[in-house]
Amino acid sequence: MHIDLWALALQATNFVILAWLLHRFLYRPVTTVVAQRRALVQKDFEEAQQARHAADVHRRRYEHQITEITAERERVIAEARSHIEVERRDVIEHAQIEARAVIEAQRRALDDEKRQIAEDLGEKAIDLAVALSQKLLSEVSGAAVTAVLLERVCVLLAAVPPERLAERGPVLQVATMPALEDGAKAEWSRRLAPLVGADTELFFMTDESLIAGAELRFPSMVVACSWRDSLIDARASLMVRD
Amino acid sequence: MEKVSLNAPIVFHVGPVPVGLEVVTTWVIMVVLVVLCYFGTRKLSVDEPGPWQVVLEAIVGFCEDIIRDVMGTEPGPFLPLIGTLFIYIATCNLSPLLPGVKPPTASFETTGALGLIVFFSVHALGVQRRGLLHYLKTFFEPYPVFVPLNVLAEFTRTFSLMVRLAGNIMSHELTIGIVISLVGLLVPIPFMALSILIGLVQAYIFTILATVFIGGAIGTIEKG
Repeated sequence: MHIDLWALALQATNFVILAWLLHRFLYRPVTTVVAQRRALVQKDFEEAQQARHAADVHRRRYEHQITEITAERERVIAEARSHIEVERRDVIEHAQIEARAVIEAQRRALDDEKRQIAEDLGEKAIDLAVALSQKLLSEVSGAAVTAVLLERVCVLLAAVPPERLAERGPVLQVATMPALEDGAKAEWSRRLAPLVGADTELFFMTDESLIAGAELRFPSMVVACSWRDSLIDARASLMVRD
Repeated sequence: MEKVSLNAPIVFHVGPVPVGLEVVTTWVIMVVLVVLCYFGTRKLSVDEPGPWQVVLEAIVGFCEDIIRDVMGTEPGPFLPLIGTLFIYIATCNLSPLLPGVKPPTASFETTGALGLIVFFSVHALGVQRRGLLHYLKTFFEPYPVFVPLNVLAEFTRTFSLMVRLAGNIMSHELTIGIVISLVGLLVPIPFMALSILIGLVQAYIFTILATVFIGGAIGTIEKG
């Protein structure tokens, strides 16, 4: 066996030529197409990735909007509840204030009415007492009444402090009810003279408003003893007790 | 007794150059491959590839995967050499399926030419990628005393490439010829079917070993 160098060289040359031809007609076109397809697939993949990314963005945005809407709904509901609660409290408070005002007004009206009724009853009682007193006095002798009045006036006048009595003035007006007769006037003058002084000038008069009683009216003071004053004091004490 | 020659018969002479049968067969195979590739790649489609385009893309993809898996690098610069080695050897190995055709890879001239191409490609690519000094340093690894063994290994592994391929194909051809001469025409059919497997496996082994040698030379894998 021997190696044919010409054949070896020809086969080597053939291989090199075949490699160039296959590179020209097989490898380059096929790899180019495969590269284009790979690029196309890569492009589609990137587009799919972008679409997926965009879908993710839209999904996150949608979820964010849902979250915001939910939060806004909760906030609005909370605000509405708070507003309703405030309004409810205001209404209740206003109603309570109005109710208290109505109750207070009614109470005041009731008190006024009670006071008015008491005053009316008091006036009626006074009128009734006056009527009863006048009827009683009409049935009693005038001399006896004036004698009692004189005694009481003398007691009151004696109780007046001397310094106060010193300022009494020169004139004394003696008002009585019933009216004094001439004899009674002389008796009154005789009994009052030591108490008010002999230089004091006396004037007698009749005053029906006293109902029954007498008043010694000095210029600077009055000494009174009458049913009218007694009835007024009784009425005042009744009003204070109510 | 008739003398059996391992050399292919001379078909004709071009001046002083004798042209053997394996060279003529190689030319025919080259023409067939180029014509098929030319017409097969005229109307390539990106979106809707046809059946023939799918086959071509599968073959090219297979060669790219060999380079990518073995060398661990992009296959672009090495595809013409590695791909052509696989396609040419596989085609030559399968050519005996046609009646009367002798495989070019059954001659030592063809496998020797392929071995020499791989040998020079390994060193040329190693020097190109690493630089001359750096590439020569690889012969001093792991220790300088290994330089003679490393240099000898470069020749022996190339020689083994040549002998392995030619020996396997030649012995298979001889086996089929002997069986045919003994038992007739139909019995060797299983052996011919086996030759398809043997031819593809031998083409794959030669391609893988060439890829490993180149990868070791350029430094993408450890030099064996």
